[in-house]
Amino acid sequence: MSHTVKIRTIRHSLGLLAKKIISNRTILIVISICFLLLLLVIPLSSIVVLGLSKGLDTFLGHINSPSTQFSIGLTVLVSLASVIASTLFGVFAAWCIVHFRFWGRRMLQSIIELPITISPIIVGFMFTLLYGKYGYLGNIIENTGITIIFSWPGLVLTNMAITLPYVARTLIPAMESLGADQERTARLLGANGVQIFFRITLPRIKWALLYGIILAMARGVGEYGAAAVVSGLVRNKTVTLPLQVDIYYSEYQSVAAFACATLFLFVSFITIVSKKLIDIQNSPAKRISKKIVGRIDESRITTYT
Amino acid sequence: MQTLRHTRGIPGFSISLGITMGWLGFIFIIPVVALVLRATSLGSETLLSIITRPAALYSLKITMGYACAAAICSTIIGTCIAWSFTRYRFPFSRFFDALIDLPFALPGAVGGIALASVFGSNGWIGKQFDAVGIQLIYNQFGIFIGLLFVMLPFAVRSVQALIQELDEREIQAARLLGASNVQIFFRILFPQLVPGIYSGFITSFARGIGEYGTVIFVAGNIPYQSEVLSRYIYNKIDQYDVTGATVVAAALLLISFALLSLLNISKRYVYGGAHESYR
Repeated sequence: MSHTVKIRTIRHSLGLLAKKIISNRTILIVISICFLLLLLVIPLSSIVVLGLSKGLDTFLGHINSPSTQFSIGLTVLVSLASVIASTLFGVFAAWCIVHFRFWGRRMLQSIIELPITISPIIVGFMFTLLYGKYGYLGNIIENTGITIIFSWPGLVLTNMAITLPYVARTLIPAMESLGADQERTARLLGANGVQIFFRITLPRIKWALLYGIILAMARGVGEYGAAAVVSGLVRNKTVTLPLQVDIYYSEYQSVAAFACATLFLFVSFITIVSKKLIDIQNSPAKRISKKIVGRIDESRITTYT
Repeated sequence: MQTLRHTRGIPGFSISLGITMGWLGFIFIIPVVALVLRATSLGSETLLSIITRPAALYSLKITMGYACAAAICSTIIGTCIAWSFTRYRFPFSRFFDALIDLPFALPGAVGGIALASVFGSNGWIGKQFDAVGIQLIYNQFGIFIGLLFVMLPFAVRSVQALIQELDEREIQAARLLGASNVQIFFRILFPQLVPGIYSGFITSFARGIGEYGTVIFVAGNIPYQSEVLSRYIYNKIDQYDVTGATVVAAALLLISFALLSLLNISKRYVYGGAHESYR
């Protein structure tokens, strides 16, 4: 009798202990924060610290140096081109995938998402195989006098391939959750396709669209692996900023590398802040308040995962 | 009938499908086909001999192994992070939550040199370990650290969406009915989070297999020791060994395709239709 009671008390106190540990939110929070500090905060703040370690003047000197300036310009141009392509593609792809049912629709949807998971090295290499010297179209291209690989068009092409999915995959779920009733009504009332898109669809998906553009931009600016394959690292010609960071780093100019990396950190902070702002625009509270005042409810935005 | 009902009214089918397919074909499908054609034109014997080169096999082994290990680890920690940042409010919780996206928003090279500067033998953390004779990076553990860094946002965000949707009333009801915390976690919370954890794992894994940027700065890239498959391909391209690069790249592509189709097929079973909105 007393034996069972004893076991029960032990079990009870064990349970209490377990409860205390498991329900103890501090443990979870401490683990999470320690992990983030170790893996994110300390390494990324060390970028800034090391970049500024030789003083602000050296830092600015590295950023203003001709090769850095050139690579910044090239990066902006390349990523702008690919973001525009990704946006146009995303809008058309989302339009046909959401509004129409056709054979191979699901497959199309999964193919669009492929460039996210494929190794960037492979993406770069595919284009080399196609347009490079020994590629399938290499002869034709050479005859026209254009060089694609080891030149800026190659950078633009690979960057377009890498950023391809981002706008489409944020728009598709957003448009699916909105349905097509309003578009159909507009059609009934006599609007044409362009009017429907700009007057009905675009105002409702604008935040999702912006979100996709930001993701594509973040990805496009920072593309490194694919660019490394097709760039050929011709100085002041095909070196984008991520490649420039790599070059500085491997030439033991680490201060210059960290200075450029600080620029990226700055850009990524802008990305994150704008993402947060869009999230707030889309928060449930805001959505409800919009519903109450009779506005159209905003679409739900999914993450990039 | 469903097709008819759905297409009625909304214009622009052929033009949107045409532009989508045209651009997708130009920028992605044709290059992929070029790669696959080039690989298959080599004949099965050459293919086999290249793919079974010891260095390639070794790279494949460590790439898959560490991608899997890092994906498991990041899924567990990611779930923990998602839980504490979503369910609890504490100072700077929103700030930390926003930070999770950084590895996605940063170029691989930047993440790589950041990790190298801290975990290297001269870095703040690496120095402490160096004093006791442990080298943290430029070896296989470096691959692991680099992959964890890259996978973190994927692992966290895919679970977070589900944690936000959890119904507090279910937990309270279970507690009222006398369930312990462990029971609540394993019987009520965990089953609801499985889809997110699962897709977080697969995306991290798929991402980890192809990762190049961050990892090469901390892995050391020594053949037969810490050279991931992407780096192996890059080296082959660098040495103008186009055949070798083509075959291994095609193999890696195949693995990625297989993983993604696995995800797409199994999604339906794991999700059970419960989370149709969540993709």
